[in-house]
Amino acid sequence: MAAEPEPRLRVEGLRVALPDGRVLIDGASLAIAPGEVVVLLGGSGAGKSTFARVLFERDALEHAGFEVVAEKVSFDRGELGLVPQRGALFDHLDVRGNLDLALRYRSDEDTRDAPDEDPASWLERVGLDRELAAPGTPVTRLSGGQAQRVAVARVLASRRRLLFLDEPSVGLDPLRVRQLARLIREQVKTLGVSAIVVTHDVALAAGVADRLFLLSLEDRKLEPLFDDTWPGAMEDRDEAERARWLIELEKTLVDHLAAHGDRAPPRTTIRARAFAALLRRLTPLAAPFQVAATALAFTPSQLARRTRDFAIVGARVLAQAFVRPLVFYSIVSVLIGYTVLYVISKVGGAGVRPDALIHQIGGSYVIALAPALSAILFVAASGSATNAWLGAMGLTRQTLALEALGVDRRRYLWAPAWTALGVAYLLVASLFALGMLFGGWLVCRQYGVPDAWALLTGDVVDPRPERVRYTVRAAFLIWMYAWGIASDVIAKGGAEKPEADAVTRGMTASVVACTLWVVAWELATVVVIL
Amino acid sequence: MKAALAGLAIVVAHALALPWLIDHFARAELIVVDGNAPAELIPRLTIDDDGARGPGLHHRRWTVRYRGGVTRSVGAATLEGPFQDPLQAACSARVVVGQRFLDDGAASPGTVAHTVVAAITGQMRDYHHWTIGSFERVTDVHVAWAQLAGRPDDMFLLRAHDAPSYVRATATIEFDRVSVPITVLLVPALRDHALRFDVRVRARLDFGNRLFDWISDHLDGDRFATDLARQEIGEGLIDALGPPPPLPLGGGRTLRFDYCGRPPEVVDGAYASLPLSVSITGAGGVLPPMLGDVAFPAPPRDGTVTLDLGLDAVNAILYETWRTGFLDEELARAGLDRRFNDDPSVQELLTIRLSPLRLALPPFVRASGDRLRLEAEALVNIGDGAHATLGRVWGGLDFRFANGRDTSKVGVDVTLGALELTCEPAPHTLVPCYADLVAALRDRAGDLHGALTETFASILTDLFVGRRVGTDGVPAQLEIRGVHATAASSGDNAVLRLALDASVLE
Repeated sequence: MAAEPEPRLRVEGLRVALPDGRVLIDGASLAIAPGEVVVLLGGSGAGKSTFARVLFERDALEHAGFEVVAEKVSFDRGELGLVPQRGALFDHLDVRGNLDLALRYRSDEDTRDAPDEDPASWLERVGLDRELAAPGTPVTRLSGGQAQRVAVARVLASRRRLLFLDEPSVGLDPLRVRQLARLIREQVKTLGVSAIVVTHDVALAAGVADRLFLLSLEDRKLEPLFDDTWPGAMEDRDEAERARWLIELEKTLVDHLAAHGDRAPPRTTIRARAFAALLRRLTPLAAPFQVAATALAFTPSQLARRTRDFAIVGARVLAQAFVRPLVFYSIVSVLIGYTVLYVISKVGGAGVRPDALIHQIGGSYVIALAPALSAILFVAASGSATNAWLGAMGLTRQTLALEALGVDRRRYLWAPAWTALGVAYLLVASLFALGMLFGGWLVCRQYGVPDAWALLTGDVVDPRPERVRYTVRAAFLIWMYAWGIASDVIAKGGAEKPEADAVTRGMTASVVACTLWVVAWELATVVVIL
Repeated sequence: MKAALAGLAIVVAHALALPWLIDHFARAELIVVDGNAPAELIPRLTIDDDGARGPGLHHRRWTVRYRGGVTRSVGAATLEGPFQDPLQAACSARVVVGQRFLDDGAASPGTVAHTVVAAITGQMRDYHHWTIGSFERVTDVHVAWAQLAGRPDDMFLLRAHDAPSYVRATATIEFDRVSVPITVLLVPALRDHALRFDVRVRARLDFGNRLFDWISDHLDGDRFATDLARQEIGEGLIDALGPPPPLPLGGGRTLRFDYCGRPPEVVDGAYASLPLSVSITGAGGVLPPMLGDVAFPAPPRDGTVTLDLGLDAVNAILYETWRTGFLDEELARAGLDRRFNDDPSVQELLTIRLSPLRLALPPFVRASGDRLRLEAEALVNIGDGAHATLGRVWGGLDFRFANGRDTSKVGVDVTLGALELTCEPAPHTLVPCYADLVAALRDRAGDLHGALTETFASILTDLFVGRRVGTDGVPAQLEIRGVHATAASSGDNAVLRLALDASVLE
C-alpha cells in the first residue's frame, strides 16, 4: 500500500484572538494534500482572511496585537502563494511587470536562473489575451475578472504549489465565477498544485472544492461540511448534480449564518487584552527605528541584486515625493525666501539702510530656516503621498500579495522607498534652499545690492569661520530629517491598514511624529552649537 | 525589537556625532601670532602692505576672503625709518614773510612799518635833547626786504662777513631843530643754531645850517643819531622779526619752531623765506619717520605770512603732540567713545562699549595723489558684556584742501579712507573682531564725509584763525585773521602751505 503523500499544509489547534481579546478562531485544524482543493466557507467576520494572514504574515499579525497560538502549523513557505481579494495587482507595475516580478521571485530554484519566461504565455494559460502583456498596459485597465485571472497567472508563474485564494470571486458575475472555477480546476490538474479557497460564494466553493470546511460562527472552530457525502468539485460533474449540491450547500450556509451570524467572538482574559494594548502602543513608537535599521541593512543588497526592482519602486517614490510636488516647493520656497528677507530688511525701521541689514544677514536666513521648513512641508506633502501609497497597497492587499510571492516587502518595498524618500528630501531641501535664495535675491535686486547671489550663497558654500557651525548644523539637520522622515513615513505607511481611515490616520500621525522629530532636533542642535 | 534597538542606536550615534562634526568641519579662524597666520589658511590668505614705500607708518594686513564679499582681516602698524634726528632737526618747514607784511608802502596799520612808527613814537614822545630839540614825528618810513646787489650804497654799512640779503628800513625822525634821516639794515646771521639780526645803522643829523652841521660833526652828532636809531628802530624791527613763538599746547607743553641751519632767502622788495625746523624730543625709542628734503613751491609774491610745512614738519608736529599726550587729550575731548557709546542706536542695538582712544604710535601723514592721508593706530578697550578686549583701530583720513575766497574757515574736505579693527586678546596675537560692525561703519564712509569735513575744518580753523601769537618781551603780536590751506605733493613728499592772513598788532 502506497504511503499517503505528505500534506502540503497541516494546521492543528490554531487559535487566533483579536487585539481587543475577542477570539476569532478557536481550535482550527486542517490538512491539505497535493493536488487537493479545500474551500473554507464562512460568514463575514468569521476569520477567513485572518486565516490567510496566519499563513502569510503571522509575525505582522502578532505585531498588530493578534494572539496566534497553534499546536502545529507546517507548510513550505516557498510553496505558498496567494491570490488576494480582487487580485491585488501591483499598481506601480503594469500587467507584464506583475508577471515579471512573479517570475523573478519564483520559488522553483531549478528555474529561477533559467532564461526569462514569456509573461504572455502565463496570460494565455489563464485564458487572457497575450496583448495584455504588452509593456505599459496598466493594471487599472483590467476588468475584475481579468484582474483576478492575472492574479492567478501571477501566483502560478511564481511556481507556488500551495495556492491560497482569498475571496477570488468578489465582484465577478456568475459567468466569470464559473470561468474562474474552471481555471482553478484546470491548473490544479495541469500543475498538480493544491489550493485553499476562502469564500462565501457558494457557486465558486461548489465548483472547485475537493473538500469543504466551515469556519463556524458558533464555536469559532473549523468544521468539515458534507465530510462523507461531498462528491468533489462540481466543475467536474454534470449540471444536475451541481445544481443539487449548490442548493444543499447554500442552505447549510444560510442556516448557519441565520443561527449564529450576529454573535460576537467570545472575549479572552483581561491580562491578554492589556498586553495586546501595550504592544499596540509600543509598536508604532518603535516602528520607525525598526524601519531605519532594516532599510539600512537591506538597501545595499537590494540595490546590488535587485537593481531593477529597486529602481521601479524608487522611481515611483521619487515621482510622488519630488517630481509631482516640485512646483509647490518652488513657489513656496521663493515666497518664503522673499518674505523673510524683505521683513528682515525692514526691521531696522526708518533710518536704517535695508541693504546694510541684508549684508549682515547674508544667506543665514536660509541656513536657519530651510531645514525645518522644508522638512515639515515635505512630510505634509511628499511624505503623505508616499504614506498614502504604501497605506493603499496595504489596504488593497498588495503588500500581502508581495509576501505571498515570496517578495520580502522590507527589501522590495521599504528599502528602495526609504532610500528614494530620503533622496527626495535631500533634493527638496536643496531646491527649497535654492528657492529661498532666489526669493532673497529678488529682494536684493529691489534694493540694488551688488553681487547679491554671491552674498546670499556665501553662507552655504563658503561660510565664514564663525558661521560654519550653523552650516554644519543645517546639513546635519537635513540629513537627520531625510532618513528620519523616510523611516517614519515608511513605518506608518507600511503599518497594518484594516480600513481606509487607517490610511489617513497614518498620514496624520506621520506628520505629527515627523514635526516632533524636527522640533526635537532643532532644539537639541541649538543646545549643541551654543 | 532588535531592529528597533539598532535604529535607536543609529539615532544616538548621530546625536553623538554632531559635536564631532562641528569640530571636524570648523574652519580655521584668522589668528596672527607674531606675524604668522595658520598654515591651513595660507592658500586663501593675502598679505598686503599699504602700498606705500619708504619711511612712515605702515600697515600690514592679513586678509581671508569668503564668498559674497565677506572678508576677515587683521592688521598691524609699524613705524619704519629712517627717522628724524632730534639733535639735528631738518629744515622741513619755512616761513615766508612777504613785503606786504613789512610795509605796504604807506606803513599802514598791521604792517611791521606801522609797528616801527608806533614803537618809535611811543618811545620818543617826551624825548628832548638840547642839541636837537624835542621829538616831533617819524616820517618817510619804509621797510623792505633788500639785497645788496640792488642797493650798492648799502655796501658802506655792511661788514665783510655780512649776508647780502637783509631787511632795510629807512625813516626820518623829526625833532623841532633837526631831522634825522636813518637807514637801518637788519642783517640775518645764524649763530648758535639761532637766527639773529645784526643791526647796521646809518643816521645823520641834518640841521640845515652849515654852522650847526659843523658843530654837530665835532660833537659826534652822527654817532649820537646812530645810537638813537639803533636803539629805537633796530631793536623794534628785531622784535617784530623775531623767531616764531612756541605754540602752547596746554599743560605747560609747547610746540617749538626753530630756525634751522640754512640761510634765509631774500628777494628784494618781495619776500624773505626763513627755513624752520620743528623741535622734537625722542621718547621711548620712537621717533617720527623722515621723508627727507622737500621741494618747496615758489613763495607767493603778494602774501603776508605763509607757513610752508613739509611732511617731515607735519609729522614732527604730530609726533610732538602725540609724545606729549596732547593728541590723546584731544581725542578724549573729541569724545569719539562717548559719541559711540551714547548713540541711541548703539545703546539700543549693540552690546559693545568703547573706552577712550589712545594712539599707539604717532600718526603719520603721507602724500596720496592730490590729497594728504593721515594714518594712525589707536588702542581702545572694547567691552562686550563682561568680556573686554584690547582693540587696535587703524584709521586713515584723506584731506583735500579746497580753494575758496573765504579764509575765515579752513577749506578742507575730509573723507574716511580706511577703518579697520583688530583685536589683541594676548600680546602679539591678532584676531579679527566685530568685522561686520566695522564693515558697516566703513560702508557709511559717505555718510561720515560731512561730519568729518566739518570737524576737521573747525579744528584747523580754531588752531590758526583768530589767534594772536606773541612771546614774552616782544611788544608786538601776530594776529591771524584767516588761513588759506593748500597741499602740493612732490613725489613721496608734499608741502602743506598755510597762507596766513596776518597782521601785526602793537
